[in-house]
Amino acid sequence: MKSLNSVRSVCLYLLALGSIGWLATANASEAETIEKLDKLVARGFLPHYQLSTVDSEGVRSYRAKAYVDGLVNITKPQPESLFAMLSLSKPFTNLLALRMVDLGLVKLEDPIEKYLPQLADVKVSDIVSSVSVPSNRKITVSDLLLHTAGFAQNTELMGLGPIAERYRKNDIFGLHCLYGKEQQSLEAIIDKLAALPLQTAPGAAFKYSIATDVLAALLQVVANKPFEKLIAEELFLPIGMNSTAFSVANDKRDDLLPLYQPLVKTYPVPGDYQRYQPLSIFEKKNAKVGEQPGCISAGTGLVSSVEDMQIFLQFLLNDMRLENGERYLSGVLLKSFLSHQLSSDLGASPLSRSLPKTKKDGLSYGLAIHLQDGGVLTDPSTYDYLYWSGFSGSGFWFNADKSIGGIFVSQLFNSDQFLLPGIAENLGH
Amino acid sequence: MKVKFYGFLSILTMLSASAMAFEFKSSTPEKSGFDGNQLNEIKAKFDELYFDGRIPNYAVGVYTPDSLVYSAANGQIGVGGGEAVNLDTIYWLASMTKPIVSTAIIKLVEEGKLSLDDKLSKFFPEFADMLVAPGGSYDTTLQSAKSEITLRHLISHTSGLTYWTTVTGVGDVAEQYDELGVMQCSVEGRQSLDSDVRFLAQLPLIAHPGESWNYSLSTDVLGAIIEQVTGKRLGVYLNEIIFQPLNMKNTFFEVPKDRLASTSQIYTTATAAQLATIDVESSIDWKIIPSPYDAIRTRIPNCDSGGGGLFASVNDYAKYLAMIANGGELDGVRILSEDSMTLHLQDQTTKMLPEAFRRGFGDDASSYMKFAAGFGRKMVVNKEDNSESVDYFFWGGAANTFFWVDVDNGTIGVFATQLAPSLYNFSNTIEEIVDQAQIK
Repeated sequence: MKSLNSVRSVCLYLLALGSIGWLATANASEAETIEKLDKLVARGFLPHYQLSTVDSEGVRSYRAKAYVDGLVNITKPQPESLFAMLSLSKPFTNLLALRMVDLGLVKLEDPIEKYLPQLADVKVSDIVSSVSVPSNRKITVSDLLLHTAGFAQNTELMGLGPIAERYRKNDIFGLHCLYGKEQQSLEAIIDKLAALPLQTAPGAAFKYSIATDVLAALLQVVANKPFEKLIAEELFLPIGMNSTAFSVANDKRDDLLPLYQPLVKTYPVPGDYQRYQPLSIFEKKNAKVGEQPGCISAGTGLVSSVEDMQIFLQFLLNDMRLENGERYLSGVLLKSFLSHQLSSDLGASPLSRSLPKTKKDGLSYGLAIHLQDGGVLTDPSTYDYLYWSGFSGSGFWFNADKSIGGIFVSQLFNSDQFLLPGIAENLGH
Repeated sequence: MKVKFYGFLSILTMLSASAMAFEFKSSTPEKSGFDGNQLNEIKAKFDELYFDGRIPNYAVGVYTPDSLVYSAANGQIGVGGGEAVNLDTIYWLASMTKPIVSTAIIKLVEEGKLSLDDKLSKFFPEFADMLVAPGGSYDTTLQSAKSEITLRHLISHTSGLTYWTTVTGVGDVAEQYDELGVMQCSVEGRQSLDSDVRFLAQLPLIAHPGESWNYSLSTDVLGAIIEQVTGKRLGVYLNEIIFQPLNMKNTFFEVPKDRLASTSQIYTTATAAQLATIDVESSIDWKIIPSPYDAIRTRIPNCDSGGGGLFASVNDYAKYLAMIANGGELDGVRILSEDSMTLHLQDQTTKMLPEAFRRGFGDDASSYMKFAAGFGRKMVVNKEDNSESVDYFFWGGAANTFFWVDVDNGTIGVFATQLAPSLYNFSNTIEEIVDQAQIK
């Protein structure tokens, strides 16, 4: 039996989450961490959580905990329960893109207008003069993988600024994609996007954005196949992620976990209480992500299970080897998914202006990179772990050298704003 | 001679005014029977939040009915500038307005102008036949209210009214409150308390009157009743019967322009979507941004909201609470009779089981929450004989202010910062620190 460096693993996972990462102390054992997480559930901060660690050979641990007998009834999640990935969706589209690069179907340096001609003349918003100016270089496929294209993020899903607000007004990759009565095609959304300026010039900055959705629209043109079909056939099927998809069949909808949103009392409540309520931001009450997507959003729309994520993590820990022994990506591209790819011109903390909690983290062609103390982004041997996380408090991390990875799932929308302060007080840290 | 006479009168007036101008005596924890070191935990707790950039500033005072025992403050009225805050800094009280308006109702009961058993329809006939949408949901069939709303229901949040969704409103009804701008006093045709309340009667209740505790616009309705009965604007009446007699000079519904420099700005927590501006001049890594609520500091209100419109300083609010802790009288000025005080602090929810408080206070506190006329009433069970007694009376406001009063030992605590929605309502924690610090 492998010696389990559990302390390390738990710390890694917590750091990856960012929002509750500070919970981990250097000396916390896995048991202590679980105790803290259980307390978060028992005291009403989290409706439920699932935590699982894996190594290259299989699942090492799995734990699920849910609030019991509350006013808001919480179903205890199972490994096969389906959860809304939200931003955890993003790395999968990037991985598929790299596979298609590997197969010679598309090049990273291709200008995107080659496939999406609508975006050929897109302008850059000039904040100073408030007019839009032609961009000085073309957006490439690589820009889409790295969020350096200059697109914004819809304000309904954390975006900020005038361009992001125009995405909202025009239904460009916002809440409507997660649940919508009317279907919008990716082409139709890209057409609307083409009419709006970029937030920043291509290559000028990392801006967390809808770039992943644009990438999906591009890949479906390259493959001449609807994106949801493409990713199912070319990524999820070969890896064996059988539950991961954009929409869930009728007979599987009972497995869908609902999302929650924070409940803030304006008066002091002396004891503990469930500090969340069912999410009520969709057109239909109690709508769940995966029931009726209004568009195929590669950036936020996937539904998956812990079981599938365990399979995915093992795939990553085994150098992306498939069951038939083939490697999903060849050497150079595999490496590009696992090492920093942003230009050094973007500074020592290139993600932090857009994602403040990332501090000095880097970015590969699909994942964020957390460094060891004193580590540098140019030297992968100094990486601590790679990770990604989503807006509902879920995240995964792994370290291939140490053969350890983990997935944490919760379904509390907008968790970072509200979880932190209450936790700090109530756990008496 | 006449001139002299008037001069003499005005001197008399001044003398009597100064005799009535109550101020807390400055004390030390030790002189007042507290361990100062233990009380310093309060400062440590709030300094931690302040230096971590999570609250813009704070002012906190611990009082007995005649003395200031302990205080701490940090920060300025705005992030990166303005007056340093202290116990006289003006803060938006939000829901801490409610107890004061409730006191005014009790005053009118004492004067025989109102009874807590009066029906709301006596003042606003529109409320005579109300519909109920249980749980605020329009998916169920609307029911006829089993009974009429009384003033007792209004003063204890058991009327069946609810709030906007931003203030823990419940269900579709709350969403409709939002959409229609109910009790906002800013919609054309509803720019007085009176017309706003009449409009409110058109929407269903979320529960039958008297059956469950639901935080609500009830206190705003009480404000409208006060205006109808006294013929005065709510702010004018409160000023006459409470603020002036208790020397609360920093309490008002509209911040005077010349006091804005002493009024804290209102913030909200930054998110990844709304980043805080990095202030290179500051040693603090701020995690807050200006709140949309900040506009109310400079707004001229169309009407006075009894549920949340007041501004006051920590010291002023403590004067009001000192009167409460002291049995209705402060420094020779009596606001309420002893009988009225008994009524004020009595449980107004005696018939309600814990289940009735569950939506409002959650699974835990519903077992020991009760509600007096305008105050939360936290109960404790004496383990020896299983008898229940009041631990303390308390409430808080949406911009993260809170207070408690322990009427047994006379201790009062008032805390203010300006963060909306409020995230650090540690009133129970602070009360426990003060309790522990008391030298037995």
